[in-house]
Amino acid sequence: MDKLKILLVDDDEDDRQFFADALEGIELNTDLHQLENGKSCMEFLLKDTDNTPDLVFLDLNMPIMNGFECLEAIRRTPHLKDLLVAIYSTSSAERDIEETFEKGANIYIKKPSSFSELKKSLKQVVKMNWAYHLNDFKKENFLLKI
Amino acid sequence: MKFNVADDIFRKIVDDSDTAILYAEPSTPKAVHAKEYLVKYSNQKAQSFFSIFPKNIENHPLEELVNYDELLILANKVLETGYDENFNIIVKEADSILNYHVRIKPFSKGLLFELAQIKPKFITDKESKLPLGSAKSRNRELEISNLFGIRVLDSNDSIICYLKPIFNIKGAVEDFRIDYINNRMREIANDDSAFIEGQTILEYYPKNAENGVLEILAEGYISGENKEYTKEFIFNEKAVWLATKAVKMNDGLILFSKDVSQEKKYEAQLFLQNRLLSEAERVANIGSFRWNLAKEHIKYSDNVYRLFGYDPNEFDDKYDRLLTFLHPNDFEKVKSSFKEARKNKSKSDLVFRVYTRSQELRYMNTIAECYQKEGNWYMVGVIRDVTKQIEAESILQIKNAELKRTNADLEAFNRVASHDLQEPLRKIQMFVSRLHEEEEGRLGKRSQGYLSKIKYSSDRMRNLINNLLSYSKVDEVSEQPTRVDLNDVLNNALEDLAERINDLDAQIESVSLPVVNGIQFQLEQLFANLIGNSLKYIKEGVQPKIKVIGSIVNGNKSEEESLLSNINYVKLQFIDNGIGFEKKYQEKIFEIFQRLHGKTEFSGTGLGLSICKKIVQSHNGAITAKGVLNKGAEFTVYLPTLL
Repeated sequence: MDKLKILLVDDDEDDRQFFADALEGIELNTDLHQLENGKSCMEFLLKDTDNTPDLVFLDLNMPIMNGFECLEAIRRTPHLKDLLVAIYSTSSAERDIEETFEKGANIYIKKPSSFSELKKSLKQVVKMNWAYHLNDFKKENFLLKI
Repeated sequence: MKFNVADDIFRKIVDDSDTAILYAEPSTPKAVHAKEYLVKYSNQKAQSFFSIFPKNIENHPLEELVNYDELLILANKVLETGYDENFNIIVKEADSILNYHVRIKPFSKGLLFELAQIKPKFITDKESKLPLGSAKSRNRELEISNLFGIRVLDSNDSIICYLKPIFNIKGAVEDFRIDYINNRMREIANDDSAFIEGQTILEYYPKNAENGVLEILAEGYISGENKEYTKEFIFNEKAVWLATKAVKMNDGLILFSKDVSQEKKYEAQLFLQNRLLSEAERVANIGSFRWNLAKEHIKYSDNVYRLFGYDPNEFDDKYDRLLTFLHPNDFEKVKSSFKEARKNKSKSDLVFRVYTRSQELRYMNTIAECYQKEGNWYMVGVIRDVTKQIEAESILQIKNAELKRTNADLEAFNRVASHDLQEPLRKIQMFVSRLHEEEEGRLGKRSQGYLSKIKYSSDRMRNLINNLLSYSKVDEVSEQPTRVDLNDVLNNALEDLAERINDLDAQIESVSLPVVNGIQFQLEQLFANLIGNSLKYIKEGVQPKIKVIGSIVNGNKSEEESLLSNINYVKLQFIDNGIGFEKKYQEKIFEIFQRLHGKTEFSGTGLGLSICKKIVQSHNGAITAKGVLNKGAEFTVYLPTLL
């Protein structure tokens, strides 16, 4: 099986480090690419279709281009409209969650406050059979809050 | 033609008359034919009747004016016979046909023409009883009736009479003889007798001696001054108010009396209404005014004076005087507003400050409108003392502003708490958990302890933030209330607390609970908080027991005052056997951040019960607490039942 290509877009260096360490810790066959904001994410995605990842983790509160804008830009782009996007944010505000789903997010993960929980939820997300779930897409199924 | 006495009054009567009157004299002493007569006098009615002729028709040949041949033929007949001629003519005027009664009679040195439009008034029974011819007999002593026909006087709205004084032996006036009185008197007095003339005024109405009439008339006669009086008379048991003007003429008095009974009645009504209005204004703290805009004086109601601390009519009613009450800062505003309203006849509505007589600052509101009547512009309006309202309003405004600030603060706080505060805390927790994971076993015992304390503190802080958030979010719920089965609510709450219940081996007792209208997740939070609270404040060495009881009570009969009467409430009691609390804290424990215990003794953020209270309040219910120290606590929740 090919490596699962994962793109993480988050301006917080610590969070990116936690994420990378946790992903490494769950010992799954993944390839992680990290970017710092929505703008660099879009540039990366539009530059070469070979860059298109299997799964994007998108922070919401970022400078230059935030997660909401980036999500909209992704859904506006024809070849990215089916890209799996997981929101990865500190916010637990109901309206933020609603808004991202309205804008086409596939999953919402609240950033956990312990490392073991982070590993647990990443494992859960990565292991999911995306293709299957996409056909029966329900907010509750994908809303992972820890 | 010259009028000798009381000219103006007579001219007015004659001019006001509905009868057209024309008087013509021969152009030369030799003239024998009416054709050769010149018009010497005409009243207004005649001028308008003969409107085809120049306005000033005096000295015009009669022939030129009266181009009805029949009129001239009959005029000649009068000249020949010396007797009156009466006949009717029909005049077509625009779309209508008018009937006129014409009389031509010899008069003084010439001929008098009277043209009266025939109205129902002229064909009454009375009219037939007093044939025109009989007028002649009355003319004998009365110079004035020689001037014009009796008809003029009879058709007049006023009583007109001519009185001759009767002197006593000392030469004083002791009575007056009625020499002439027109028909109007008979109408007003409802008196058909033809013999008023010849009686004295005391014979005709004896009370004239007592009511001052005789005295006034005698004085008028002696002095020659005009007299005016208004008196009440009783004619055939009917009260009549007559307004009379007496004028000396030759050796007698001529009296004009107008029936003002109706006006008197209105006046009495008006007086009563004014009194009522005045009373109402006083009670309502309102004054009213009426201002003839062409003048500087304003007519105020009594209460306007009182509003400014004065007695009625105590200050000058000039417009400028009103301005002197104004607060200096409002002076220009009010002045220009009134100027504007006065100029453009516009409506005005303004609030201004005034200093009353006692230098008390009051707020006044005037609302005024302009209207036109008989060519004059008036402004009418009300003045109200609105000090109370303004004060209440300004307090409300301050409170509103405060509330807005508080809301804005709360929103900012929510933002801060939900993100900015959580972000660094989450990192601390993350690093702690990594440190714990990676260095476990390698840290010294004390360091291990420090790490645990950091973990505990940061968990507490997260708990606190979450509680604060849910407290501030109670009112933000956008969900609509639904039917909520409280048994489900209890079960869900117990499930959340299952671990703790197990650990403590707590005993939960409950009865079947009713269904209410509410927000499910909030009610779950309410139950979880209350039961969680009981599980928190337990007594050492005693098995925790919690009882949940539900019943229905009427708001009327309930011991809780804030409930609405005539509404049924679900009463939920949460009773525990924990440490309880002193009675003096039973209100305080619901206040935000009120903790009765040190935080090391019992975990808690001091927000749990505040959240409960908020949830209950947003469900239009009430919550109370009762406690006995070291015995237990009882929380009672009232929620409105389903209608």
